[in-house]
Amino acid sequence: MTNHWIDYQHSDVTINIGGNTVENHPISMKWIQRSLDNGGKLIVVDPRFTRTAAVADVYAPIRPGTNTAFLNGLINYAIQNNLYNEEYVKVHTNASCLVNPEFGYSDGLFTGAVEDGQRGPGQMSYERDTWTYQKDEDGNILKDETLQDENCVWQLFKDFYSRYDVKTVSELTGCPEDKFEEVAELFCSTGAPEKAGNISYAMGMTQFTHGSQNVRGCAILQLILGNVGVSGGGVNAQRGQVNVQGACDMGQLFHIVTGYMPMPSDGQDWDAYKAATPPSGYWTNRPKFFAAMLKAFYGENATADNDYCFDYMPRLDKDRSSVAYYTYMAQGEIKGLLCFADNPVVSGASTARKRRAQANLDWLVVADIYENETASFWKAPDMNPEDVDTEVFLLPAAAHFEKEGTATNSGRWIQWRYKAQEPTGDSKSDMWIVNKLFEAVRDLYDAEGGTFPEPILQMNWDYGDDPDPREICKEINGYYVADGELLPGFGEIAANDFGETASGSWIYTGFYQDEDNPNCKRRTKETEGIGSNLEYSFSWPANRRIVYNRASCDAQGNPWNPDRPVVWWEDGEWKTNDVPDFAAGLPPEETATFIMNPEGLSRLWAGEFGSMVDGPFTEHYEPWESITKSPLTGDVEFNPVATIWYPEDRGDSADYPYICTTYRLVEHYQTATETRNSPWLVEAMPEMFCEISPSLAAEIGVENGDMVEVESKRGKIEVKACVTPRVKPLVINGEEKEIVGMPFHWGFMGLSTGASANDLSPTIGCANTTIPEFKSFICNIRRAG
Amino acid sequence: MAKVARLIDVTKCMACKGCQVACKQWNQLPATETEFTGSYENPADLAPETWSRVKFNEHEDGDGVKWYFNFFSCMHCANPACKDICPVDAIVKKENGAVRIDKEMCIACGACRGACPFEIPRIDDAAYKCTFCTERLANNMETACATACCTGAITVGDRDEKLEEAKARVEALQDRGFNNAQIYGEEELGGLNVIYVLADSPELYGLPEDPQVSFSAYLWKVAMGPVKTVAAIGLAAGALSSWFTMRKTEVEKEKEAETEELEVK
Repeated sequence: MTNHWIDYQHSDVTINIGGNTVENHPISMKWIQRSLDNGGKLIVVDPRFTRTAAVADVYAPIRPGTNTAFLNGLINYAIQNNLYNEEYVKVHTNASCLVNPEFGYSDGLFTGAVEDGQRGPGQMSYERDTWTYQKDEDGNILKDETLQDENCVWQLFKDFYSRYDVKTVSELTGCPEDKFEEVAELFCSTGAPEKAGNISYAMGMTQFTHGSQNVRGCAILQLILGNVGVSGGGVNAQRGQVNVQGACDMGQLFHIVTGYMPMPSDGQDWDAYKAATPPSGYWTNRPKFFAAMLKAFYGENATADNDYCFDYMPRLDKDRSSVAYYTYMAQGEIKGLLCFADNPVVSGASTARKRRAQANLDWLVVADIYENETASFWKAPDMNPEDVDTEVFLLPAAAHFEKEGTATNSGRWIQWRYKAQEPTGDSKSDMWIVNKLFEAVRDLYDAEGGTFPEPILQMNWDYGDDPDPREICKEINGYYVADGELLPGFGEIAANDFGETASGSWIYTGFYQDEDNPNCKRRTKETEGIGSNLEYSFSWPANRRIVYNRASCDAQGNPWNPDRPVVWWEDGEWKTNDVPDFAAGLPPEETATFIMNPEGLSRLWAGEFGSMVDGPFTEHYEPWESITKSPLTGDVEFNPVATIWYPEDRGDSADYPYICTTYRLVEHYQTATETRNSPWLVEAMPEMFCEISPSLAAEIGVENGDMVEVESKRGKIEVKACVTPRVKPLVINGEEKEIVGMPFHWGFMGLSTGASANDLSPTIGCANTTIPEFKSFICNIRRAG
Repeated sequence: MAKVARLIDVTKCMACKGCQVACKQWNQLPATETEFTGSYENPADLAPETWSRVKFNEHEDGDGVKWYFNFFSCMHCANPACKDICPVDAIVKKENGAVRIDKEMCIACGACRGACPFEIPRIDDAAYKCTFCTERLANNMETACATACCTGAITVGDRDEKLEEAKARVEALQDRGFNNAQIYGEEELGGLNVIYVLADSPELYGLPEDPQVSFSAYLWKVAMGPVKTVAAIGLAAGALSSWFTMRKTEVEKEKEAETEELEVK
């Protein structure tokens, strides 16, 4: 998130849209509760009246899959009713930048659309030549500070979002007009300079084929309201696992390496990688950060002569996301899988396909704390063990309190955690397991040779029998190659020459800069201030708690909210309640706010330099499977750039007339490997179920607690029905549509077993991130038996 | 010595069930077998192994759907009916307000459950209910439920202070538009050591509007003094074998003699 948990207490209005804080981040309610005690308000926008809605001031229903329409409606409302922060827009966004007059949008497509059969039948890719700024001969972006030029971002922006009037939004989302206006008026009131609005979201925002455009919508709304970079504001993703933030920071996503640098692509050498560096902004230092990472990986072996062992890095040849590689696995391309603390046979899309795909593996290694469904796929109710030749290894893994190291929370705070007890039985930490695996592979390469052994043999890897997380922390933090002294910050990587520093993940530099008292171990709470707690753990980057904090002031450096300033210009210098996220040696008129962007500005229009593959503005597209068509996108029904892996898996609403969505409960955790084996938690929430409205229940002749059969194009499951007024049908484009919702926690292993909701979900993901569309597809439902 | 009260501000409760699980863990109570019957509420009732639970009260009115949550456990009444009716005086009212059942003396007759307006004590080899975590309070800790509660819906402290807090909270809620916000436990049954701040009327939270001790229990206490003793002897004789068995089972955590050592947090 751009802000952090403690900062939530300062929000005047918090909106949980595409998130269910009470169920999935209950501890953070402590801070939202403080904001309510301070006079703040909480809005919940959700298909169901959730446990969070129960404690909110305003609840608004929404059709699953229509966040973009809702957010676009809020953006338009703020513009039409003059609730946006005009000065913020002028100073901190690209509103005044001029766009290529050739750029446009009509009938569901932006300019530059070309057919791309690789993404599936009828799908497109965009060529971005028209998605450019107008520039002078020196390459500087042309601007109109009055925001009047017909090609300036602000005019294009107003025009695009004007299509999302209240009536259109209501018809698409099913949220009644008066309720939408109530939400809009309340949330957009935070456009006032001294007010702060907080968008707190999670998977209900991201798990769609247009998920990343949803998040862009949050960012755009917050930017025009002046809520980015201020205390109490922010675009705040509530991360769903203890250390998913840390995992991403350390490059565990397939398309990036550590510190959010791109994975080298097929055919790209070091010169080509360097040439792809953005022309301005802080990312100009990327080559140095990458070289520092290579030095950490390859040590003395990485030199200027061999491009720092750049050629030893794997190359990204195609989509290698989870959705993709399970498809390759089904096609026989993947022979082995190492699966650590992941349970795709319950959490993945179309899980029946995943079980069958795994049968194609020669071997499968699962490291987990219990025997989960992925390790047991061969004995699933729909599998025949006789037909499965896969050799399965189950490695007992230590639980999180049986090992030490750091975990990074949603607020980017890196916190050291201590070991509470020794691992049970033979279980080992992931670090121990990975170390042994690597050593065994290296020994084999050493003894037998093989295709391209150098990337393994030359790796700087010598942790002994029992790797010490402290040594690895030092490596990640980074050090001067000459004397091994730990780096205080990534500025040192940028300031020194290639090869002079090493750092496993540049964004973390500083978290472990003093091995006797590492920053991530500090636990000193602040006694005054705005809640930054600069001496409590370490927040990347550079211990900044609220990022983009230059935006907390106007052009002259005066804070929008003098009662809660993050930084401010006074007596010829910057005063701070946080670490400045800009060049604080410069006076206000010379600083760039968004230092990672070449423009130095945030993007209301994300064309040039941006990486959105499906458009610079956020258009509402229907989910892949839908019960309606949008009047806004012509013949284009769903995201034209999303990859369709199994066209035959798409259901027709004639056969599946109900909207299906999946979610979580507070009593269970993800695929519940841990919680469905805990007797007290099983007692608290014992069985799988679905939730339907009383009207749908009456339609199919079902009462509360009866068994029902829920079916999609991908599969069929039997579960209990929870009939409740907390789920209601919505009027969509004039027709009443019902919703069937269900938690995804259950599987066939453990103390409590039950049907998996993901047997029903579709294998199609976000065009940018590939996260599957778990939250909106279609189904049918009937009485069971 | 000051009386301790558990303050439950239901408007801060989000029904995470942390309190219910913490109670199980602290008291090492086994999980019971439950099933999904159409509600998030589980377990569906108190039991000898379930001393507290979260109630989910769903209804719909002109304003829309309401889903009211409340933590439900022993109210530690000022004048406990269970204490009055117990034929063997196994139930005591501690100085700090906690109502405790002495497991060793209990003969599992079930009269306490019958007398209690909230049907709290549950009978197995003895009567079981919330102990108010007096051993935790004696060691400057909060009750297990309060410790687990992350929003501050459950807090423990001096009863008079908690009442003041509750009143301020009710005012704040009324300012926010909860016209029916009220306190429950100030005067009910002569006062409870569990004070609720409710956003609406008690029956919408599954609480009896004006709880009364049953007439028979009243008779038992006031009018039937000597009869009570005779009946007690009879009951004891009849349950002699179970009384001996009970002596062998797990020792109750606290004895009468420790009453003076209790401190209020």
